[in-house]
Amino acid sequence: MADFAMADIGYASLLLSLVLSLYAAGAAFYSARRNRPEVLASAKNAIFVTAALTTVAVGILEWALITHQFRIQYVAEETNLAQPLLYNVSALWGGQEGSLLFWAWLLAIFTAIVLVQNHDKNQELIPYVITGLGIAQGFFLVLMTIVTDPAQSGFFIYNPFNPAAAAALVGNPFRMLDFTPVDGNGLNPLLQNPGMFIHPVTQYLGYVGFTVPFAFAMAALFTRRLSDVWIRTTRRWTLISWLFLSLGLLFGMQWAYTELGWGGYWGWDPVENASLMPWLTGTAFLHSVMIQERRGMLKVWNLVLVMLTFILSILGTFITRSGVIESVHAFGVSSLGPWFLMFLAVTLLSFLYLLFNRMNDLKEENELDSLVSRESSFLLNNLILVGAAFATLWGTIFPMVSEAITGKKVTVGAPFFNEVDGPIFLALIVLIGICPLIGWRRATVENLIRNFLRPFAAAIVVVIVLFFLGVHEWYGIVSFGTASFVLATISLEFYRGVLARRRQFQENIIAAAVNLVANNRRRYGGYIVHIGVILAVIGIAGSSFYEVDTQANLSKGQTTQLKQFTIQFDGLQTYPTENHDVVAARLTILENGNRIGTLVPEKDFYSVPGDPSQTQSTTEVAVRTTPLEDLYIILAGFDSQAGTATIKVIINPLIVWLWVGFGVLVGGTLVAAWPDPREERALARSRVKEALAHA
Amino acid sequence: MVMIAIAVMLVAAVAIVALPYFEPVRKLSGLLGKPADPAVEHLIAQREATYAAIKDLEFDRAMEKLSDADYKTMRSKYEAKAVSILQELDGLAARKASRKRSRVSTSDDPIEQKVKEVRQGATFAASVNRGAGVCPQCGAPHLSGDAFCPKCGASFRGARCANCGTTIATGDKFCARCGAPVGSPASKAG
Repeated sequence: MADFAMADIGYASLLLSLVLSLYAAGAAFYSARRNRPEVLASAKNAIFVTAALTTVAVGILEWALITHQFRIQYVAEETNLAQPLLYNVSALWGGQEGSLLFWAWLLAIFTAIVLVQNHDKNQELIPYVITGLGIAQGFFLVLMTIVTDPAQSGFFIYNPFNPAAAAALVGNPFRMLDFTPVDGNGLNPLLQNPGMFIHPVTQYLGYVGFTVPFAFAMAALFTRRLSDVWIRTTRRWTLISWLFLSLGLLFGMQWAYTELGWGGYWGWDPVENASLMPWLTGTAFLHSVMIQERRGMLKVWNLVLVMLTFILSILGTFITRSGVIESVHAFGVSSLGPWFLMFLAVTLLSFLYLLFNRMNDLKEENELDSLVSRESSFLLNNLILVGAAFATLWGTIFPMVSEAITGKKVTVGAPFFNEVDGPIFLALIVLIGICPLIGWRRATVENLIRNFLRPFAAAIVVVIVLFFLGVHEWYGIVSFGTASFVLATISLEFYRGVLARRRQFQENIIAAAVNLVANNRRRYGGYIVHIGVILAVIGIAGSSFYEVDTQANLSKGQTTQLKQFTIQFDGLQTYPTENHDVVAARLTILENGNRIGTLVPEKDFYSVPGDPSQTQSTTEVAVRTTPLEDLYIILAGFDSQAGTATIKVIINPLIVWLWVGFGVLVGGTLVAAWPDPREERALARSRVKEALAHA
Repeated sequence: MVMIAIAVMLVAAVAIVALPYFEPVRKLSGLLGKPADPAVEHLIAQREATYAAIKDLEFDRAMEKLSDADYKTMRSKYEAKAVSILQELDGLAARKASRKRSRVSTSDDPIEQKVKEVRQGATFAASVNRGAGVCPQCGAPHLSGDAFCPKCGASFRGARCANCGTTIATGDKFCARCGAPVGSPASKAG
């Protein structure tokens, strides 16, 4: 009976959270309109209680997942008895209902953090921020507690008098089966990978995190406090959310690379695109806010960007969890689809209404001083990023649109995205190189050319060296040439900064470099992020343009050759583990005739619950990484009777730099986001002034 | 059991949420902010952006991205702009203060009223703009509230109040915050 009781308590706490978050939204709004502080205090308490209640719900679901309460349908679908504990825990975000709960929980916690952070700040914005966050929170709770599948219950929301209705609550993580299965289905074996433990968490942290800046943007619009206070207040939320989206991309790519076993890490899959799009608009936002802070320009644009990022985050959650993109028919299957669309439409319309209504308060405070300036290069960077996001969005939803209109499903594959997004990204990278060379406000072409010459010369030297090393293809020359140009400009930027400090403060080189970064965290943190991006580009270019592969069917003792590597097959091994059977091929690797080690690619077989005759297999690749290249081996097939194995060998040049680049990017973001006491003081000062000015 | 657990949860939640309604409103009155004045907000944002602009110009010249000729033109352009914004803010502040003065003139004691007027006018204008501008020694811009030049370190303020520690603008005879006379032993140049 325990499962029953706990599930009921879980559902009740969600229902109560729903009532409280909508109450908080309404009460906070009312308190600000009618100047009723006690109502606001009550709304704040409701937010804290919601955070506690959703935590209870998450706790109960985790308990059920870990202790195998299969009577709860979600537990039966996402776990089984043999599954390791780690994946029982991560099953919380492995399916649709659990993901909704995870989202709502993170948002509840974030909202509580926002209230604590702002307990004595931004008092005129906070009521409306609570309203926005409460509504978003309410939306996810509605999906979990009262939306039913009309096909099963006859009505689209929960009707307590209909006995079939409880089983039709499609978003309810605590939905009960009318019997207790002996074992559950288990998490998809492909998702049983440490990368899949961490990837969804970081992805959701990023998605949910962008709700906070968006709520502040809406509050700023509503209260007409449209100076840059909302941007400065949410700067760290934006940066950290962006950091988590980047980590989500990184872990997702690594999972694809090591678990999917096709030798790549990015296939322009709709789910991948869904995580890339908010990252692109979020990146644009991070850049364009600087223009508003410095020049009081691009106010409308910044609001639009943060709205787009939020909407694309919601869309990303929806696409990933509903299966809508594979086919529009899935849209009917998940009866949550129309609700998501409705939420997006309402968000978009209320945003647009407020935006047009407040147009007069959104005057630009400055104009561009010159076409050749940092500002105009930022504008261009924004257009490129948003362009890339829209091209990706179009390619992602086109199959769905075309299926809805013509009934025919068109596949938009990697070639489309490579051809459209490839050149866009190349332009972006060139811009990363040029932008730091241009001063704010005005740069003379003469200065630009002078600054341009040294990095350009460095790039030419690199290209010539590469040419003699055997890189003759135009795309290789263009990508590596551009990358070295950008690296050279950033290095020049550091070099000049250090020189300037040495001149001014007579510091030694190390002190000057450390102080340079420490005193300009945002600027140099940003440059470090750029270095990371360029390293990632080098990895992407190397692995996509210069990948070579071969496939061979080998008997014991036979060898195959790929470039300098000789791979010798030493035989098959079979053994069972806790929840799957393993077939492994032992391979000895020789480089230029010298033995450098062994690699053991595997195939893992998971039994399918309820059907012992069938198994589901996953590929565990074996990889040997060096700074220059990855030797990546897949066990593509085997014949245990004959003792032969079919192995696929891939050499992925430079791919390790993709992961290193992301690491550098994370470091740079942390440098930029690290609290700066001076900046805090400046913000506090501007708040005090604002408050006094309004007194 | 289940019903009891749910009932406890419900009662606790309602109690916590309802609690503020039973507290004296006075205690909570600091929770809500004042409505915005877009004109002031706009000017403050512009002022901060203009100071940032001047700092950027310095940095870009040091990094050889800006020619000296451009630097000089842009610098004087932004300095002129900063001055006009500050004047506008002063005007707004003065208007506000005079509105306030007419509002508070209900007090009986004429001396008390006079003191109130002076304080309100002075603190307000001071709080918005006091001291913000450029360093008289090296010309670098600084924010209001800065006691030293961020670039050369020169102290460009007169003194600190011996009584409350507020910085005192050059020429002031009394502290704008607490009204203590300037010149007592502790208020030496800071």
